Amino acid sequence: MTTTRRHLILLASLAMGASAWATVGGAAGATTEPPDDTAATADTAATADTAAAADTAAATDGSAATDAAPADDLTIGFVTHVVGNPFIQQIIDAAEFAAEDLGVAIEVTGPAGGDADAQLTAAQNVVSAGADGLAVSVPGESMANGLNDIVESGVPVVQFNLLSTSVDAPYVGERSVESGRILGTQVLELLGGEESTGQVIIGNCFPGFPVLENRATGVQEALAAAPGLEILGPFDVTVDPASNYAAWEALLAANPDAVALIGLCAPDLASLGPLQEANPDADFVAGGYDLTEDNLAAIQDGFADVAIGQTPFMQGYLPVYMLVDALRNGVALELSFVDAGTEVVTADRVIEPFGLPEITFDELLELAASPEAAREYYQPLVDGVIAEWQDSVEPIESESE
Amino acid sequence: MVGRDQWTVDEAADGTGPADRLAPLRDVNDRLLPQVPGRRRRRRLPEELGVIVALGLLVGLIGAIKPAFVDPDTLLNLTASNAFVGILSLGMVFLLAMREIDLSIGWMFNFSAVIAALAIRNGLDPFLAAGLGVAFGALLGLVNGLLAVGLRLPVLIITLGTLSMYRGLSLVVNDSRAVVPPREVRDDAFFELLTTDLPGGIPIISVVFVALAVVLHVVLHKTRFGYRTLAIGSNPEAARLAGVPIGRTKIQVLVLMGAVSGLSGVLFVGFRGAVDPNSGADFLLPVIAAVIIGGTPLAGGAGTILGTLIGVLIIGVIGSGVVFLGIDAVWSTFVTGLVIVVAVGVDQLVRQRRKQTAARLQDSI
Repeated sequence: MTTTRRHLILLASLAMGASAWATVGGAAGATTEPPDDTAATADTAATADTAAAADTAAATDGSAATDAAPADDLTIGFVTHVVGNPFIQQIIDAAEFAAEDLGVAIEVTGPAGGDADAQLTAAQNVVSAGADGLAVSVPGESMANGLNDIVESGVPVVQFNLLSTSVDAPYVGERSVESGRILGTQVLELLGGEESTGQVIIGNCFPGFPVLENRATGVQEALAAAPGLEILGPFDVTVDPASNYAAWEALLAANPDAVALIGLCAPDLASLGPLQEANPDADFVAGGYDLTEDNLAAIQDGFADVAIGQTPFMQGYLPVYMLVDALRNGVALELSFVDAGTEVVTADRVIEPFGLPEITFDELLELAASPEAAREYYQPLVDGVIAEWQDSVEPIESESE
Repeated sequence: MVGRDQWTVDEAADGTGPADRLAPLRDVNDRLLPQVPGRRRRRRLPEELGVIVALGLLVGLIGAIKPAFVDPDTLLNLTASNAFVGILSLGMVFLLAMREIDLSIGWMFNFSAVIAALAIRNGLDPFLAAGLGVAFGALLGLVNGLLAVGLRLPVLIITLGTLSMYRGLSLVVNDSRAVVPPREVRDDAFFELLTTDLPGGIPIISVVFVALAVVLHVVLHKTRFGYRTLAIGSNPEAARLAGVPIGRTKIQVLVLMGAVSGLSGVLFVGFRGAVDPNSGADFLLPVIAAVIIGGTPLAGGAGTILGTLIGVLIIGVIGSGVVFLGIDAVWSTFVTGLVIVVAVGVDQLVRQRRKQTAARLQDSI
């Protein structure tokens, strides 16, 4: 019987290997190869056909990262702290557009559950597998040593979305405290300004994440302008959508007279909208983060009030651009901050950063649903702020001012 | 069946031939009484051969497609990256062998690491802080054990509650923030030791993992404590009638699990240089997967440390392999889950087959 068992376990393992093999052969591969024309350009350049290479450089708008002909075979590792999240997917979409525009391959990976150690292992594997540069969100300080080892090995690294100041690499993201202030100010306006009174509940889906703690600080600072408001929390409302809704439901049940519920993460507005719909007697202002389809739908339906966006297109596109700039042009990457911008959305207005064209709420919904539409809308960013990113570099302290 | 073939080969060597009518009965005796004094022991292949071969095939398959995967540095780093989950898995073997599961291991790991890191930050010598972390983990395990035995509840139920307790207390203690020992302290011998490689690029952390596996293998299979653990898992009622102190043994196993969790936690602090508020939160699934894949049955009564070590490496190879092969991370989760389902299914099939064979042999006798 033990013999049979050994055989069966072996068969199971083979089945597992076959499953992995089948996946490799399927369409789910995360490595996006450079477009054929770029590969052709690389071949051409390798044979000293500089005219063709120059054409390619011109075709990719002549910006800094593409001044040199892409006569290389670069692979960028793009490691997120979670996969299967609508907001993170917007970042990934932008990163893949950048890779396509710049003629590099990109390998996207990350843990399903947001575990920092698993993410660090994934980042190390991506580099071991041959990635020339690494873009990574950094949800924990325990990743710093491992990422600094990668930096010291000569592989350029850029942080995005979540930051550790212990990692010797630039960061592309929002001004976290300031975005919290903006959200707090928006909620305060909707409540009636500095004379408003009542309870305000703040929820944090990941207590301990520095960026989220900074957002909470900003919200609290803004709300402090109204002494009549009683701030409760931040409470742990978890990141899983089902448990997030349950947490908010419990908070509302415990504080039925709350005048505002403010979430600091992407799943919150998607919970607060249905919560308001299910509790018509409880009239509260619902504010939160990220312009996902669910969140915008909640605002459109009138059950949520304000959402803060952190320009996911910038957070995906710019890190890849910076890495290619470093690899092709030798641009040094050091611990610093590049502001990705803050978007403010209510049912009545959409405020986009960097002087982007005004859009309506319906157009914003289309951007959230269509990566191609977002790519087209943000082209001015690619031509402007992103191409000239070195002009936007600030000290890392600016991120939390 | 290989076992039957072996028997036949042995018979042939003795000159009795393959047609010996008593072969089935001897086969039963061989299974039931493998240690009968005076009887010549057969050469047996290790129970873990299947998973060892599977690991080799996986590494070979991925290495054939992506040669960089079989670079020694890559493979050694893989063992180091999986050492924390691996150490927890070694402790979990004792639980599963006793028909129990401890759900709180991730947060015992986290809480112990937080306590050790805070102690270092507050000026305690890092080696003493490491000892404190291990002892604290053992204390958490003791709490689990006393509750499980005192309330006469399965460990699964108790740890369903204590995992939240430990998580909550850890977040209170660390103020929901990462605990990072000061940079000047990180030059201490403790941190230097754990981040240094031995000649050949072998990470110290991997050596600790393997050394602990050897120690726990001896504990499980060569000590009275180990026999008692297996006896309880094999048949609790029979163990009780035989005078095995079930409650005390259960507490001892849970204290061991806690201490092992604490050890893994303090090694994490030394290796990574910090502990985050949610470090270890996702360790439970890969730990259980590694133990089951390694060959420790859910039904208890048996356990294999070597198999678990191989199971940990299989989980690690799957995780790294999907990255090397460019497979989406979501598929990595799927493949890991698939392996667990297949392994559990195989375990069930084997047990059913075992019952059927035993029944047939009993009828023939």
